[in-house]
Amino acid sequence: MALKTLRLGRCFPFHVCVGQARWMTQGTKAVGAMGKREGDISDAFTSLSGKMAEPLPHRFRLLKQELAKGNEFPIINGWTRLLESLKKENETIAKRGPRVIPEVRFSHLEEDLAKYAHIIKKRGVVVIRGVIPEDEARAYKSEIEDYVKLNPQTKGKSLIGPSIELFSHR
Amino acid sequence: MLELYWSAPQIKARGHPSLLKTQIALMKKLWYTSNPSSPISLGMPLCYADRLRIRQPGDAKFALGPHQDGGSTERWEKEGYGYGGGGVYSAVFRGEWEAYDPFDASARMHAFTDLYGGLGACSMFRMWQGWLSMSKTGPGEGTLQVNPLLKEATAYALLRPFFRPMWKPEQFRDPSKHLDPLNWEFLAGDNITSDLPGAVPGHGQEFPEGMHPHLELDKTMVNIPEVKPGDYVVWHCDSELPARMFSASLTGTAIHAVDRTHKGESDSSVLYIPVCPTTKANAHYVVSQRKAFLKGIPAPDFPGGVGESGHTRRPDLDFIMTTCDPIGIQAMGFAKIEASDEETSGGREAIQLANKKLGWE
Repeated sequence: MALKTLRLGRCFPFHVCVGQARWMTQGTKAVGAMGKREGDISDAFTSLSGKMAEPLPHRFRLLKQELAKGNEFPIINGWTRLLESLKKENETIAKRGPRVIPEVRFSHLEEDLAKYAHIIKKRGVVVIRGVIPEDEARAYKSEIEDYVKLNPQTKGKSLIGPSIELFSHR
Repeated sequence: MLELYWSAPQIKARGHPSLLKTQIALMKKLWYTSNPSSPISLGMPLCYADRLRIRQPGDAKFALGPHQDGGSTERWEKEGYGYGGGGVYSAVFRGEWEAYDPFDASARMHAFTDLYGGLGACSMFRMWQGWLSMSKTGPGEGTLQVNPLLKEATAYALLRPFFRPMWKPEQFRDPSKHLDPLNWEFLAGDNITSDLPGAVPGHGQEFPEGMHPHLELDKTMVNIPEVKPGDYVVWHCDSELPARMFSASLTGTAIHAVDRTHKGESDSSVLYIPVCPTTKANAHYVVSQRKAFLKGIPAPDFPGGVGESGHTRRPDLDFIMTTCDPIGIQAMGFAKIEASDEETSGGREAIQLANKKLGWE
């Protein structure tokens, strides 16, 4: 594959969060403040999102140049291998769904972790069964509800009914 | 999401011997240190006080995650996760993504140490993000969705800014040809732009639909299997990246998309409890977290305010000392950390540094 020299005149489209981004995902107000600026996006990208952000500062361009310098062909080859791997792996995941996620038993913790270490690392997620006795963990929930009832000033309460505002802060 | 950090059940769970045992095993059996002298202990967890969620059936609103970690542009930046010699993602940027090891604590630790107090990330190095279920919750009842392909998804997010598609899906007779490697060109030399798709400095990463098409998130985000009260679910922090891509790809409909999945008959309730190793920087955070506990205010990473300072029946220090496992008490910063016999030299050093930070030495 040859290195292409097409010039990309405009930035990639992506949307930018305006304002209090840090807690954005928790606040209904903050979610509302998530601005999606329409912008002039180069033709190749209009299909992607139609959303636009301000370009990142120049230093990111230099950073990317530096990262790629001397590594161009390995990066291209690695990318190609990556896309092939994704295609294959995605198919497995789509077919098997939640069954791809490994589970271990607390009662056999060391044994199961050793046995499934490879797949846990591949999937990046694991369910550990029965860490805390079921009754005990279930009682946690009612104890929290009692604590909230006793302290109605608790923020973010959602215990009483379906239409309570969950996120009152910010 | 409830703004609670210091309720009795949270403290009991964080200090539960079985949970602590699990945390230690998840660090020791799955992570490793490529440099054994790295000052980090995989054998001693430190406590990170996060929140909890109780969702009743019919709850219309939804939070995407416990909180947003930084992790957008700093994944590429030197000062962030680093890419140079020993950098967390250096193998990926050399094109050798297969060699990238998401479970090597040595490189990652330094990234977080350097970043400490910096970019609004979670201040503690978490080896696993996690939640403890307090309910029986199955797929489709508002559980967690993950993209279960850690290494590939991370590598993809990192390399994506160096490539762009030549043709749009609708320009192909078979739109899936859009994903063919031949349709994606490398941006070299002068043609490199400053863009990091989805990354905004100082913000969490955002991913509009179509930005990361090869992850095929519409079919590769899967629900975790059904959980019961007492089950503990953990996921590598890097795997939150595709989860956020997915949520954002549904921007505008995200709330409904998740709401649609909340068809359970009962509540979906979890305590957020990540797994953090002992390092100097983590201990530094525990020092201020400890103060927050004593005052009853939110943990330092979270929005401030009075929190639970005026709450009736809020657990006090005596509660911790009488309820929690000794390791839990140490993990919360209320007793000197004792190194286990199996501790590595780096682990011993980390524990010593942590004890110093916490004022025990």
